[in-house]
Amino acid sequence: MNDLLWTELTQLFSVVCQIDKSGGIVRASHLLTKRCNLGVDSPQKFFEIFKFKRPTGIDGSYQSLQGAVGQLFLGASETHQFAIRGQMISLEKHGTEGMCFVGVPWLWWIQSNSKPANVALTLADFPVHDVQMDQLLFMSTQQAMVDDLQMLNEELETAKKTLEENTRVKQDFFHHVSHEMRTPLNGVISALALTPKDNLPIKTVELLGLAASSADRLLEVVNFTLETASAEAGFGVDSCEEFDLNQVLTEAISVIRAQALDKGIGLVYERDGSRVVSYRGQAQLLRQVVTNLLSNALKFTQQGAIVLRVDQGIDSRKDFDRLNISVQDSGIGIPASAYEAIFEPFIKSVTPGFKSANGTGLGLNIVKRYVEMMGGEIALQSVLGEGSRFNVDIAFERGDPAKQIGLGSTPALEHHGKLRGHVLLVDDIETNLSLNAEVLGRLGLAVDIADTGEEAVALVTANPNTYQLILMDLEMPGIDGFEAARRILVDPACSSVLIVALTAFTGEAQRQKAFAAGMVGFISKPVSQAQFVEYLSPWLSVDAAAGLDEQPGEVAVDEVIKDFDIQVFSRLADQVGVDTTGKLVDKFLSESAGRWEALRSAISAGNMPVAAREAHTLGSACLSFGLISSGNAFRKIESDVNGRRAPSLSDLDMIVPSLFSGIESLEQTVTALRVPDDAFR
Amino acid sequence: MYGIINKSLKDMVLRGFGESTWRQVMDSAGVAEDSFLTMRSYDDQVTFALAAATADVLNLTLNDALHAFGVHWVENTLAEQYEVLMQATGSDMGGFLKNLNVLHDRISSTFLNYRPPHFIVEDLDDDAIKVTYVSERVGLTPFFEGVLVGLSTRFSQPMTIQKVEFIAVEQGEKTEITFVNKSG
Repeated sequence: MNDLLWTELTQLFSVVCQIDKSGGIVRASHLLTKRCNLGVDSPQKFFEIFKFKRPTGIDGSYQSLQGAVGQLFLGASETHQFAIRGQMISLEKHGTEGMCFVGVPWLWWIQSNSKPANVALTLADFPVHDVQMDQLLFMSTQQAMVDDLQMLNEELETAKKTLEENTRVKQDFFHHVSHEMRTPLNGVISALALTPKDNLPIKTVELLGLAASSADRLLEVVNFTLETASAEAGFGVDSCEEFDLNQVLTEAISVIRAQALDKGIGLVYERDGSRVVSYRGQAQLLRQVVTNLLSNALKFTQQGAIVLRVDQGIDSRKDFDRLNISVQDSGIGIPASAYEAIFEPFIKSVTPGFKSANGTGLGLNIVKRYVEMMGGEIALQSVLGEGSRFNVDIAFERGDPAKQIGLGSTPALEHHGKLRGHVLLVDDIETNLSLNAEVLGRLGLAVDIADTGEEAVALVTANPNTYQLILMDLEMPGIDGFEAARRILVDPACSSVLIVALTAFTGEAQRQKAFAAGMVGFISKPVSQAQFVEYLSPWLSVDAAAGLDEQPGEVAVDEVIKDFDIQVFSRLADQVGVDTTGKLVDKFLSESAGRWEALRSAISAGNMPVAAREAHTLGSACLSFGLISSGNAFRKIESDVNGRRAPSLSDLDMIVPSLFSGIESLEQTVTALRVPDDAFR
Repeated sequence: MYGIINKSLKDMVLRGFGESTWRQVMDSAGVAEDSFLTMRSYDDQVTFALAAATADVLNLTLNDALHAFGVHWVENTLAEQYEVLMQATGSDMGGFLKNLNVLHDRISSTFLNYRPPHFIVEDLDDDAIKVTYVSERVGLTPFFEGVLVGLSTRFSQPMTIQKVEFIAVEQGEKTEITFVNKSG
């Protein structure tokens, strides 16, 4: 190899070694000479100094080297703690026998295998085009980045823990405030409801009514404020539970049923043919959404009917159904320009010429927020003067397959009666004790009271078979309701005692805590008489005749084909009181003749929408008052109209005998009840 | 500048004065976030604001704060994260400084937005060394002086700066620093 070529090679590479055909080193670059003591231990063979990891199959023979020209050579010398990387070039085309290795130090091997003191490589040992030093810098920097991200993770973890702790403190605060605000309100609402009004001046009764409705609205505002604050803090979004869809919707209907009857507005619950009823989701939110939509519909509807309908659709996720829940009314309607505004808080009325006297204007805002919390959507269709339809679309995961026992298209009928049993009421606040004891007593229950957790534990454990149910306040001085429940249930003689929380707390965490303590139910105060019946009926006998197993539905109705069913009527009287029931019957009787004529005219004229509406209104009222045969007959006409099968006047006339018979029985019953004023109390 | 610079400044304050002082620096600088990532490029103003705030909070002149930062940069940040490269760059003051441009060439291939300074190193007759520091940025000569002090400690070659002369340039900064190693 001539000197010019050698000089050029050593300028380009720091490790250069010319070898002859036998592998002997002819000459080597400065770095290689220094590192491997060449010239001191000469003569030396290149392949005796370095063992090559790559390429494979190199035995040092000239033939094997010629076959590896152009390949990457990775060789190391344990003796000299030095390694090289590069390639072989043949010198034959330059007129010289033998080969030449050109390359650089193998940095990673040296770093991994040499003692630090022996590394001592400098930047000058690497030609500028070699990237190993750049890689070293890059890797060191990458390591620093990994460290940075690790530190960030730790900071985020710390911040998360701090946030969770702050959230917990805030949640406790909300629960405390909630309790402190609802408890006195409970006293006000209950006291107003129970104030005897029979002998008071009309003006005083009006003022008491104003106070009661104001207290209700204040409670609604308090609930809204606390729920909004709670939702903004991220609470209450994980309260998924398995629920019965029919039960949730029926509960929502029951809230407005008495008012609907009072206004003469029909209430219909329709379901498509699906038999799926058990879902997983936030039942409490869903119940409130439907209740608010129904209340809103009732508020703005003066005649006709409100239809709650559920249709099951397909969701992209396995085991999920997309439920379309609609509430349609025949009310005043909403102008299209106000479709968004009505969901704003404190918007009471958006329809020209109509001013709502009641309510806070929060209901639809709560609906929208809750629907969105459940991952759903809400839409509105409305025609001014004809009515509105709110469509809620939410996907729910299907619940336990064993619980899917849907009833299909089922009109909702609530069957509430007097309660039977002996209960223990536990509350540390005397007002609550006396008010709730009176309400429960009026419902037919024998009531004992305890004003501390300790007293409750002593009473129940001493009399384990006395109480069918214990209504337990949660926050009390001394041992609280949770602890009292635990102490009762841990007693072997009391392990099957039923304990239901009765509390001003409303949070899901408190509910879960109550269930964890062994309680079987959770009732948020304040509670109306009707709500007590509804909430307690799963655990107590509802009525000696009806029993606990009674289920609403067409089957039950079909089996009781009567002109007048006094059990149904009795339960209505229990729900809304004798006076109100009497007034409702009067209203029904005064309007029924007109509605009958309207129905006849509509059928004659082929005006099917009016026929459907009138048949529905008459049918709903008849079924509510126990006029079962007539109610079912009106429902049949309504069903025919909706199914585009035009009914005839003779179909209508066939109802007359049972309707007259039923009305006669109804009038006799109402007359009889009015003599003893408190016959159903 | 890259996040590694801001991280190093933060590290200097944390090690020397603790978390509460660093919070004061952050507040004073008006910098909201201090989770700097080594390889992320940050606006120069962040670094300058932090340096100025450090000087304010520690009751130092800006030049003294930058000088201390230069020392910390060599003695802690580079030694802990890039020791092998430091070794490869040189084993004494003179050798190290003469390889600085080569080192910065290599850094430029990894840190793509890097705008490194340039150095001219001259051995003077009286065993003194003159380093000419040329940078696009203005005001960082005290930082480089701190770097020189850090290197003298690293190589156990105590030094004395004899002269610092600023050369007028149209853009950036150019400074000639002459020093002598006590042992040399």
